[in-house]
Amino acid sequence: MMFAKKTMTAAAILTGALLAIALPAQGQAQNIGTVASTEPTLSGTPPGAGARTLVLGTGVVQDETIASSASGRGQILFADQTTLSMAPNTTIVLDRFVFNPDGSGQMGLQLTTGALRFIGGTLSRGQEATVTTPTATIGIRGSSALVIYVNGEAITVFLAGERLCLTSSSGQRACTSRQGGVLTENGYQGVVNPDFLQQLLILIDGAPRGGGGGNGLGSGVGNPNPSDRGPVSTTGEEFDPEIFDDDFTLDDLFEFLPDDFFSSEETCGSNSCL
Amino acid sequence: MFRSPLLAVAAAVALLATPALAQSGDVAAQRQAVFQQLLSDPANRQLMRDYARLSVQMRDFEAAAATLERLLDLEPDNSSARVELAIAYFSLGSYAVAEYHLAAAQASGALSPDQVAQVARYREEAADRGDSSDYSGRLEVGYAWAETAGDSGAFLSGAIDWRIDLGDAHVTQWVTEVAFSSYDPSDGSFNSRSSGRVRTGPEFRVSRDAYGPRLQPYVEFGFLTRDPIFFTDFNTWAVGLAYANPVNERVTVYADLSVGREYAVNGSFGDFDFHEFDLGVTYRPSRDTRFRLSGTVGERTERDTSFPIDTTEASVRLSAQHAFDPAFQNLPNRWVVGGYAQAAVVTTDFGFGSETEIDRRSVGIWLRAFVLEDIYLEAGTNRILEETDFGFGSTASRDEAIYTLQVGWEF
Repeated sequence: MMFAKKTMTAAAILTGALLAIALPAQGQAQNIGTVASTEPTLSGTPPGAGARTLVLGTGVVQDETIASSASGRGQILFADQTTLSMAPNTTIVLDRFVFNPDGSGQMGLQLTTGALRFIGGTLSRGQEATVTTPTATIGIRGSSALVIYVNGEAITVFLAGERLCLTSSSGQRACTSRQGGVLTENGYQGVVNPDFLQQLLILIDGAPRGGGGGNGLGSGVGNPNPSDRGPVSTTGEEFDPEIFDDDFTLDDLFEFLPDDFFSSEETCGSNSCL
Repeated sequence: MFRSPLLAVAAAVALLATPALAQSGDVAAQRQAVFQQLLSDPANRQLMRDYARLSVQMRDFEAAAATLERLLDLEPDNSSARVELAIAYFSLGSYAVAEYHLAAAQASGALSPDQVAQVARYREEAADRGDSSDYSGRLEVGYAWAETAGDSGAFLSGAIDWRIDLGDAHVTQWVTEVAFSSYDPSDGSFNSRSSGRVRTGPEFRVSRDAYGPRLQPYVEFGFLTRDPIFFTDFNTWAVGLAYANPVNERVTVYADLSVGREYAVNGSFGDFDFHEFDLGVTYRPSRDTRFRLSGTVGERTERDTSFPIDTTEASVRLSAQHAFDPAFQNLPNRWVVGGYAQAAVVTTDFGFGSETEIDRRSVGIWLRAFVLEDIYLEAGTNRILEETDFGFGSTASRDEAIYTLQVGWEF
């Protein structure tokens, strides 16, 4: 009995100690991505915590609000390989990120103001990743897109992948599978104007700088000549432009084999050869 | 009848597919391992390079683009990385973004002469592909020899594919294809023939995805002229439906169903109704290599006669081609080697109880060498074995070798 009481006490102490270790761990949210570049810094506000400075390598968590200053921009690399680039004066909320070991899950974020580039990872290939602005919901599937929310209007540009859709607050939904296609709350607007695209990319990335040649990354995409094949999807699919082509075959030369009437080995039955 | 060739083809494709799939799994595992390191050390240039290279091996140009975007954020004056980023976007078909980065790289003044030439080529190609009207094609002139029969002559062949973008949100295109061929043997041969066709119709993205299935309803007009001594010339029309779907990065399936009529222009035959169905699959273990397995069944039946001639044809064909760089100096830098094996059965019922069956097996190989960027020389050799059963116990077998040599222009 005494032994049992001591054992129970020890168990209670051990349980308490384990809980003491476990509870803070449970309360600490799991990183869903990391800050991959900043210029100079971003600020983040995790749920239930105060604002913090995000520097290169800082982990970000679900429901965190991330903001860039008037002169700041940055990129966030998510656990599913999605890359998000933020322009200055941009605020986002990472409000949904579920990434299961089998690659399934979902991703959603809010863009309350500013502009961003979304380059999809694993999650947006299975189903739409969503970017919600105050006036529209943008669905990005297998794709990369630019999204801007200014003056109360959402504009999105489809860069690559399968499909981009925009649903306005009135419920009107428009989609495009055209690279460079532009969607607003008023539907499909045609191909992006190069000047507008340039402004948007400069806003997100800053103006390109000259002067430094630098070494390439050695990414393996530096073929000296453009491929004569069509574009590749974000998962490597591509259309074969020659799939219905008429290969030049013998049938183009001869409907029947050329016949000199002497070359064939002919076997005739009881009837004469035809 | 086709069981053996089909089994052989399936075995060959499976044999070729297995190492490619295993290699793909290895690359994916390596890339995932690199990515996990990258999450904790996102500015590590070596990790970024490894990740981008592995992504390109997996044909995941989007991941390569994302990595290069991050690198450029860290090194904004790295013009060489900007060229790579432009090419990654070009590969994804995002030509407007590619052009933005190409122009910026060119304006940097920091590129080597080779890079300047490279950027110029990509800019020109990006501008072409951004056009709402795009065409491509080939023209070939050559000479063919049939060894056993002693028949030989010049031939001309060409094809044009013209696509007009109709400007909607899902890139519906109006596609027109023109193809023709002509063979003109020496005097004394009755094998001269010319044929041509024009096919036109809209091509839709059925699922409204960029890489989902595409469907083209079409009308087609054609002609066939042959030696007037024995044969009838025909003009034809047909309507049809063509379908293509890239299932994944390696496999594309396609089908084509058409029905139509042949109108006899002269000669002793009447008009014919015909229908044809093609079904095929292509397999690409890499961007340079393609296997295609296709099957065709068709029938043509003479109209308006009590004893119509009826011809049915079934064939299966496996073809393969591989593009490579021979890496020899003073030789063209782009070669393509290809080959095929085909089995076909043509059965003709002459309408009064007489039936002929031709069983034809053919194999061939060819080599195409580009002597200039768009001009190539091609040599081919073919072997055809043909068994003909005339009915009534009468058969014939033939063995023919046909050689071709041609010069072509690809545009």
